[in-house]
Amino acid sequence: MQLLNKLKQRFPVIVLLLLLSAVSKAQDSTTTVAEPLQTVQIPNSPNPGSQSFLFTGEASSLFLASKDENTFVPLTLMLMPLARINDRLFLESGVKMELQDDGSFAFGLETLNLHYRVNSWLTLHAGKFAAPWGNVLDMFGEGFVSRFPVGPIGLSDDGMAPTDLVGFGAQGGFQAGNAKMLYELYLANGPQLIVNEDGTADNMTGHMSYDALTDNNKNKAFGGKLGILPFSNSMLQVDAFAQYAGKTGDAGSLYQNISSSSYGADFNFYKTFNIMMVRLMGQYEETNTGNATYKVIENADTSYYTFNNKGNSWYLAGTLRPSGSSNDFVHDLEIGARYAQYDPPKNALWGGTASKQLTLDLTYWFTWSSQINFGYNIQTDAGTRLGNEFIIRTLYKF
Amino acid sequence: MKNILKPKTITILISIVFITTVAILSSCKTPALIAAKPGAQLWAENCTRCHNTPPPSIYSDAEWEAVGEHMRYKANLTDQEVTKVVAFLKSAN
Repeated sequence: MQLLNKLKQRFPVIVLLLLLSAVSKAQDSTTTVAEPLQTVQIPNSPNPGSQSFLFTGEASSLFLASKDENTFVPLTLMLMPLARINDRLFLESGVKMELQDDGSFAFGLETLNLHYRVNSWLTLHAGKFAAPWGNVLDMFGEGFVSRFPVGPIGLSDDGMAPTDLVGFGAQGGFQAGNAKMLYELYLANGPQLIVNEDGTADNMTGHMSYDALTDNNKNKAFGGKLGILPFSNSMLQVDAFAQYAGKTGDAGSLYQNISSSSYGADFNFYKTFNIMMVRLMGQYEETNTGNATYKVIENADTSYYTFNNKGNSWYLAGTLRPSGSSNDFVHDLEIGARYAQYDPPKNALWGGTASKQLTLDLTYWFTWSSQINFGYNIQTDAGTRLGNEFIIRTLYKF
Repeated sequence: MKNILKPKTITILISIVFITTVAILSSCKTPALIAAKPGAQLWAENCTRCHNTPPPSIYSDAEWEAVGEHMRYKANLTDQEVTKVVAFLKSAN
């Protein structure tokens, strides 16, 4: 473990060496010649300019029907301004707005990521970005790509693995013979251990907070992803990813040296057979948190407990779309099924037995990216069967 | 032996191996069939990895430039793929 800690501290050296290896190419095409100032301003100039922008985003609404209630879930609006400033600089951003019960909007900065392309196989970036952590968050993170009206349990914000990161990273993709390789490395603030001494029912002690914007100690998490598309037509992608944080507790606290290590793998496969496009996807991830003895105070009584802090999540899904059908209505339909399972630590206050989820979906595509989903969700939470839900989601991407 | 196993040494070794591997692999000669793939084919193959293929007419040329750059990072497209796909989308726009 000490070795890993020391390795982590040396991580910046890797990034530095990557920079040095490519810096000779970094400035080769950015030289600009100063133009004389224009004295006449032409309105509606035909000059297209050198920067490229796209203001994109998506809006969705949800309707849930269960045995006990039917309800519309407030609208979500995601705005994603993208700016290609020049050949090397690119800005990716995303702001999420959710309508609250009182009619107000809650704003959240989902992404603010500044990219610098060093050469054809290396890009550096810094900011707030989604963890390159499995296809649920990475490839299928945007609603219009997800194909299911609700996410798989244990693999997004409710799980035990990284979701959002604040830090910097390096990434790239390149052809290697018939295969294509991709990689991502990052150094980020990392997860923070949740410690709550109140003996309340929602006590999350021992769980990690993955969405904190500022760090709680000097330690940083490092991680990355390696992927391969072995076939020349890109129909299969397989990734492996990992993250290690040597210290996750608040600096100076009893728990400051609690470590967290996570790893996983995913795959995505698609192929068209005659008129039918078949897609299969899956992901597995596991997180191990260092053991600790936690204090709980309930009704003035103090007790101590510890548990094996290890959990995992996985899912498998498949979709069928008759995209080659000559019937306009039929070729815009897609059906899907997904099974997901989340195994939290058995003896944690927030743990227990596995939660399981089966989601069935029928999607109708209005356009290439706007859709309406009719879903049926069957879920058991810690062995207790929750009420089945019928879900309608409408999502427009623009 | 102890000196060799120092974290600093291991880190430098890993860095050198990683950089060398990436550099060698990225400079591997791309097979002719792959190098000759037209933008339309790359557009169909790569977009479909995650989502339906967008029609070229939905965005302007400048917007396709921004989309192409976004996909370079989002989908780890190679330099050649971005160039060819964006050129195709602009020509078919």
